[in-house]
Amino acid sequence: MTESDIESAIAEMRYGSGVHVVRNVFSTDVCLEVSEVIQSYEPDQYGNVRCLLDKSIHIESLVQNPEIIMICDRLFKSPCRLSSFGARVIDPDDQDNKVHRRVSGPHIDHPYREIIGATEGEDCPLYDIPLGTQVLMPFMDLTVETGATAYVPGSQLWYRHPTAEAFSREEAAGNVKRLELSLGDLAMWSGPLWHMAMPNYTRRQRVIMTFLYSPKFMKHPHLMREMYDPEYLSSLPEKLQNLINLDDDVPAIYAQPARISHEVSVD
Amino acid sequence: MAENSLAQHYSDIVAEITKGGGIHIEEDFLSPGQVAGFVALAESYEPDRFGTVRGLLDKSPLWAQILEHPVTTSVSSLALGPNFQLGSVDIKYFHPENQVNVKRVIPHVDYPGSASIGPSAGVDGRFGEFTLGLKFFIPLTDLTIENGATAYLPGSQNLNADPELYGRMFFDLHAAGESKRLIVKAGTLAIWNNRFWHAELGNRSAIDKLLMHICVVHGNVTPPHALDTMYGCDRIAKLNSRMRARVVAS
Repeated sequence: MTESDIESAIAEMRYGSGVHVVRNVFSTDVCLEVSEVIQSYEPDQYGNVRCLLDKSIHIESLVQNPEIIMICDRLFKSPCRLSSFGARVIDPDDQDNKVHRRVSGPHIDHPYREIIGATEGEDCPLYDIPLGTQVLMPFMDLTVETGATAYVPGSQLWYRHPTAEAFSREEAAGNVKRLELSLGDLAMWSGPLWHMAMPNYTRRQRVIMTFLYSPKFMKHPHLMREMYDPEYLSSLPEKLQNLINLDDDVPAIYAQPARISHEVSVD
Repeated sequence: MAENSLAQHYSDIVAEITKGGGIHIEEDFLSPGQVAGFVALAESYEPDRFGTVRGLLDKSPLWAQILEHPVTTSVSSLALGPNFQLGSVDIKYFHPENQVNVKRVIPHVDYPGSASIGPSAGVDGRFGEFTLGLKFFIPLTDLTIENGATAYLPGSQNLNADPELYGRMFFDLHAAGESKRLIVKAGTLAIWNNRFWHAELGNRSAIDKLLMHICVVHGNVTPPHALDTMYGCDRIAKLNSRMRARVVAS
């Protein structure tokens, strides 16, 4: 990836459609292998499967994808950290599938959803400062039928929370697009891009992975050092250890201070 | 002070620490009795090898008088947003000419400034006037030239730079008279921006210098100390609900 490619990707994510797509990150065979790994674990009630880093060398390699890391480092102007990641398994949509309904409202991602509070738009003190990058990778072709994510191109510049009504208005105005990706591609966005997951109308489960990268000093939703076996963590190469915050010196934990017993003189 | 005037007063403090000199000073913030209480508290626990006593939050009700004071809460909320977190609390000894503390003589900015400025330093830095953290600094000893009153560079938060990367620049500016010294009485509150250049100078007096540091950070920033883990559920349960919320938020 050239300097110019990195700058173009960043410009697209910040001031263009909001989304940068990386093609052919994984081959079909690798996608099928990873998908099989994900589907061999029980998802939680929202369809999430977490703690996957030690389950496949391909997942280890994916989180360290050089293109993602280069773009994030440049966006944040400091080394990025993997703040959270996991897979989501969405069952085919039917009358009984209430799980999907619960997770599919229009939203913006952490940390922007917490940062954008009472002050919105350009008045938000942290407007246009990249503090998180979301990466999405499907393990099947992501189409309208499989439920490609719906998003509003350019909405990252609004710095506002989407309401269901506002998202519907954008849809009615023809401003909503679908994030259609081929097996092995990934998409990334940075900023409060309006998007929502869509129902899966096929007869197969939809399997995707999502990752969040942030600057080192930001609060990371997942505490990786507590999620994996210490032996596994210590076996990782230094770059990956750093990427998952093992070298971070904050937050520090100090022991309670020892009480000093002052001698009392008794005359 | 009327409510509107108070709100304006707090806004002025925030403007002072973000766009102005970078520091705000409130004299007589703690009474002599409160200062004596904190000194007694610090002296009841073993400092670490750097002279710092931590883990004191649940050991005295005096903390609430600082952490729930309208000045500290209003300024934190205005500068960092309503979800600000308590990041760290400590009291530090500077013994007379203590070589152990020599590192602190190095001019520095505080966390999270030290972690967030990075290579994007300078006037085009990412965060502009927005601040990610504040320091509440209360000397528990009168600060004098002799005991090494804190030296600082007014307006340096706008440099958006880390003085540790600029070699002798701070000392050169200090020698040129550009810096100031925080010569204040015990119990004075100083509030400064996390990107504010300052240095604690050596204590050439005959008695200890005791300084209290409280760090508060933006709700989305990793706090410097994992206070919830350090204190554990039992100790945190002893704090009142407002203080508990600030600690558990971390």
